[in-house]
This record gives sequence, structure tokens and C-alpha cells, in this order.
Amino acid sequence: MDDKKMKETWRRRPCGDARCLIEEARSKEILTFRRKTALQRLADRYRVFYTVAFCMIPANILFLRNIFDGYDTNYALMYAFALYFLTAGCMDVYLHMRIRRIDVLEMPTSEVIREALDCRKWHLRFMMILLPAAIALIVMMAMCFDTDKYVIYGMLTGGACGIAIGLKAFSDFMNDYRQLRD
Amino acid sequence: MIYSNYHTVQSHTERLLPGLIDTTIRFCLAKAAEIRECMCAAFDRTQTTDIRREGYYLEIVERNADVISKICRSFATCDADYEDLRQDALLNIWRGVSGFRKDSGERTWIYRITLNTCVSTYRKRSRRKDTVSIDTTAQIAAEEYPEQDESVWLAAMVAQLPPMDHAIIEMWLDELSYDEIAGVMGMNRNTVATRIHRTKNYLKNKYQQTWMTKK
Repeated sequence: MDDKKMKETWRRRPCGDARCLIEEARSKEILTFRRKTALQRLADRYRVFYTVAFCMIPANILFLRNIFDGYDTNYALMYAFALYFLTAGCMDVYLHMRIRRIDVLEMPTSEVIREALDCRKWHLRFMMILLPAAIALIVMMAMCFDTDKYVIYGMLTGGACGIAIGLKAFSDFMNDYRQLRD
Repeated sequence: MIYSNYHTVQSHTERLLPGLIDTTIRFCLAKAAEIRECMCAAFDRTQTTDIRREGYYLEIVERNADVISKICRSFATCDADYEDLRQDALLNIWRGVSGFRKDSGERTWIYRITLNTCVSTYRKRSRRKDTVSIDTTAQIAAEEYPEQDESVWLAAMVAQLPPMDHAIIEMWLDELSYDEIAGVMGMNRNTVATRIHRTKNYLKNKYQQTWMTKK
């Protein structure tokens, strides 16, 4: 296959409907900016995540204080939860800011590709930190309630389901990460 | 003395005040009318600009509809993804049309915005593509569309490339010059040439493996 034939073959490839695109261009949803791009939606999602994570810090302290009403308040667990949500929130703020920096109108394509892949890599790295940390927190919590066998049973069941789901998610992440490196 | 002065001031004020108030009111009304006229003119201008901008945007889209839909199709992993990409690309073109400088070339501008839209969010490859090898996917595509076999195979192969090579080879196949590709990608011309050469060889090898053995 020479260059000319390759280009000819490329021109014959099946493509989308151009008429449909022109009609879509006139739609109110686009002309009034009612629609958001995938990138804007992604940035919004990270904003929601970090808002929830930061709100969880005081909420968790209150929640754990109530739980430990009959027990001695475990400050280590409380601080661990606060640290976990603070870390998660900071990570989401970082990703939100990096995604907001991507300007598809001005940046050259190679830079956009590099930024997008880098954001994805950091997202996976953060997930790989947060997933084991979440498991450690659950174990810590189980140790605090070691006197109540029903709570332990509940946690073990939840933990088994969680580990199964976590392993699946982890293998997906690794798969994604490998693809990004290639 | 103070008393008489007070009366003088008062009589002057009584005489001057209505005139002063009148003048102030007239001045304010005149200014208000002026501002209103200015605002109307600005509003008309904005409306005209908006109409002009919309017309220009539609013109650009009509001229490049084929390119936009082809790029979106080649980056999409499924039909829903294609529709999303198409709408995102249109939205970005509409957003950027007012800042578009004609000297940069409409064609390369369209390529840059559409490609940037397509590569800016990471898209997970479909499960089928994850588990089935590239050659098998191309083979399946060729079997499903026998009338377009080679072109479908080539499109499937290009879609499997890493985003950087995908974008570059797509522009090269669409007959953009090396300089234009380098401009869109923000890369050195030599780097672009090297990447094109490498990808071309890869595609040619794959073609030999898939089609020559079949024939």
C-alpha cells in the first residue's frame, strides 16, 4: 500500500452524517450555551467531589462523636477520617484546577493530549492511594467496635463485598493506566 | 447685619433655585436621553454582531461539516460518544468563533478545535477492543462491511493508535501539509515528519500482514 492508495482508502471510509451536524449547529442548546462540554462536566464533577469531601470533615467528627457515645471517643480514628477526607478533597481540587486549565480554543493539540493524559494518570494515582487508605480506615473502625460481635459481622460482610468491588475497580484502573503508558 | 445678609441670600435663593432646579432637571433628562440612545445603539450593535457572528459560525460549520463529523467519528468509541463529540465540537466552535483570526486559516483552526475537543477527555476503549487484538478487530470490521473493507480496516487501525499519532496521521491522510500539521499540533516540523513516517510504516506492515495473507 503506497501513500496515494492509503489516502484514497482513507477518503472512502464510512463517516458521520454532515447534514445532521448542520442541523445540530442551529440548535438552541448550542447557540445559547445551555449545553456543557464533556470537559466542563468533568471539572464540575470534581468540584462536587471536593465540596463533599470538605463537608465530610466536620460531619464525620460529629457523627463519630455520637457513635462513640457509649464508648471512649477514639481520637485516632477521628483524625484518620478527617485526614482521609482532607487528602481526598485536596486531590480533587488539584484535578479540578488542572482540568480547568485545558483550553481547547487556544492550546495546541499536542499540549491538550499531554494534559488530558496527565490528568487521567493523576486521577488513577490518587485512586490507588485512596482505596487502600479507605480499607485501612474500615479496619481501624472494626477494631474500635471489637466488643460488639454484630457490628463486626456486618463489617466483615461489607468488607468482603467492598474488597471484591475494590479488586475489580483496581484491575480496571491498572488496565487503564497501562493503556495510558503505552 | 447677619439678618439682612440672610434675607439677601434667601431672596437670591428663592429667585435662583427654581431656575437651578429646572436647569438640573433639563440637564439630567438630556443626559438620560443620551445614555438611552447610546445603550440602544450598543444593544443594536451587539444584536447585529451576534447575528453576524451566528451567520459566520453557521457558514464555517456548513463549509467544514464533513471534516468535523469525520474527525468526531474516528475518535468516537460508539454512536452515543460520536453524538457527544459532535455537539462538543460545535459548542467549542461557537465559543471560539468571535476570537477566530482569519489569518490563521479556517481549515487548520477547525482541525485544531475539533481535535482538541476529541482528545481533551479520556475515553475508555470498549471492552471488545480491550480483549480482542487490533488485527482481529480490523478483520471483524472488514467482514462486517465487505463493500468498504479496506477503508473500514484503515479507519479501525487509525482509531487504535495513541491519540498523538492518531491526530497526526488523520491530518496527513486528509491532505494537510506538514507545516499545517505542525501548526495544529504545536510541534516541530521534523518531529511531525518522523511521527508520520513511523505511523505510515506501522500501518503498511499491518496492511501486509492482514490483506496480503488474505489475498
